[in-house]
Amino acid sequence: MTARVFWTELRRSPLRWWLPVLVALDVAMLLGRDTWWIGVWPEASAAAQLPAYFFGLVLGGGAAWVAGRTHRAGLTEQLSASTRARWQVELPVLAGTLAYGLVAFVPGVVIAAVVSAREAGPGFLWPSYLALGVCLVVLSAATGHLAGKLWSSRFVPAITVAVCLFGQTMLRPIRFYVLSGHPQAEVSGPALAVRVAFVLLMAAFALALPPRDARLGWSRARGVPLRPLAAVAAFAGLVAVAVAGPLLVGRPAPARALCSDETPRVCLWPENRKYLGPVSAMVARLNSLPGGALTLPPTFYERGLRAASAPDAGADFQFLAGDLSVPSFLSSAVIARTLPDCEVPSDAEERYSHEVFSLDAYLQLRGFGDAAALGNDGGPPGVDMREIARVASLPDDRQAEWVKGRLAAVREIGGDCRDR
Amino acid sequence: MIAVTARRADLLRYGRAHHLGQMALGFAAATAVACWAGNSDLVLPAANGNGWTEMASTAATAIPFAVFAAGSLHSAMASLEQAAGGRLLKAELVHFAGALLLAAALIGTATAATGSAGGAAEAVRNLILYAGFALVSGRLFGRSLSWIVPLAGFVVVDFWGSDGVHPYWWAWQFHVYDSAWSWVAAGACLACGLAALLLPPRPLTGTARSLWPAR
Repeated sequence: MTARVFWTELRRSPLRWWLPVLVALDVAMLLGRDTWWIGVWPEASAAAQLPAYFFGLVLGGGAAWVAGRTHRAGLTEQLSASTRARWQVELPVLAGTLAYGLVAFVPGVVIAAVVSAREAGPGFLWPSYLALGVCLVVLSAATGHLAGKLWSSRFVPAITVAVCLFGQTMLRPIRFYVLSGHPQAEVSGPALAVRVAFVLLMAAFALALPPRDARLGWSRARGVPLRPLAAVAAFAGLVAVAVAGPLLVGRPAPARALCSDETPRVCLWPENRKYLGPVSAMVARLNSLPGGALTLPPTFYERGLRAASAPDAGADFQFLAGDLSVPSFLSSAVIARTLPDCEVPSDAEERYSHEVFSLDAYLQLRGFGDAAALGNDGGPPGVDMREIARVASLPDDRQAEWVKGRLAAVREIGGDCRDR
Repeated sequence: MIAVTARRADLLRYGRAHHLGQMALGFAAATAVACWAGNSDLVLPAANGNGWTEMASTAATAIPFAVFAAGSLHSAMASLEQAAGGRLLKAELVHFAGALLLAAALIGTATAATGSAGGAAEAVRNLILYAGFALVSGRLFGRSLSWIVPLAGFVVVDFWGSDGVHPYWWAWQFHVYDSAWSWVAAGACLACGLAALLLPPRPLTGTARSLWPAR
């Protein structure tokens, strides 16, 4: 019986018009954005989860509109006299809303998995991120359903959208979404468990709480003040979500980092294996400068692979939205080992910084190997990136001479310098 | 004297059918949100290289005001009003203009008090923009669903409206207050919305019927 009502609800729900829109939104949000997340399982998982934030807004309002059909059709009284338990009446309606929300969520997940599989290697999408997305979809639908059932005002769907928007955006401790999923972090188990419990609580309220009785108003219909108790429980649930700790927590370093065979070595988190080739090539380009002007560390580590207290760990590289961020970290690591330790006189600091910044810009360009990708106007302050690009296009021995020239200038300006 | 009493009675009847009390409550709540968010930037998911966009809160705080103003045009007697004369349309225009001015005063004051004067100007511009969207939405889907087009506009602009540093030319909500172009665009959106309001009523049956019935 309930299954038949469910199918009827699917056919009759106003959300049937929204399904194609939601599916298009899901796919567009995944493919119509920067593609650096492709090929890294946790990043792909977080990217598949991201549309849930927008689904939450749409479904919050949609669920309130769907549940409010009872009021708009003038059936509030008849339903309150139903012989069936309230939750049995509500279940097909909420299930229909959820079906539309979750079905729209699936294409994005499938696409994220398919496009990542080739580069990402062993592993799969991380269920914790997907669970987080499902939680947000269910929470929004349950909240909207509950609001649409309890209040007959025409403004309830819009208010639900506003509550979902500002609640998720402004109240960071009760967020149900993450912006990215770098391998150094994972969804906290306790934080996710508390969120799942809260979502189930809200779904139970959406199903079981009796709506306003037109005859008795908001007074206690059956002796037990159900709605105030539910409000207290929902607030306690929100507090529990807030105190369950941050949504993303640091992961312990992997037992075996993924390292290149060349010298200097490059070591990455295994999930970032697609970057091993590009970063090794960057290091090889830095290492191939003749004349021994540069001192490279024996191993370049990705952040989080070794303790933050390790010497030079501050310059460990990070992938911030792809590998474009890596050259600046590599350059910092090389400069830290190459530059002498100088006591710079205060009146020479500007000239000294200019030389160091020029060297830094050159090393970034040499490492990345593509001036256009790094941008001509984004260099360090006071550095003419066109000049740096010109230097980087010279033969290697001339480039080495230029680097030696910068280092000599640094020594001269720095005055009292000691080699490291 | 009799004319004045009749007019007051008309106004009261109009107000009773048009959710004005609820609109006032909604405005109060939206003002509280605007005060709370006034000085903060929202960080939301986006398509650019960073994966997120940081935007002035007024890109979002203006939406509830616009939706309450346009949504309050919905009448509990909508089907009877299909047969109303030009006087109702005049009343609706006065109603909407009053609601919009009140909303502009509230969001402008709230944002200026907790944020900056420039932010207040942006808030008013965004209100004008979303009000146009909301009227168009009311026309397309029914006045109870005035929130759909503003929400769609917000989602599209938030996710695709910036390259991570600069907003695109069409992401008017992200533009700073001295961008004349964004004011022109907001005015054009409101003009579209008003045109949608002024168009003759649609028949309740046939192919031109709303996707969602008026009830």
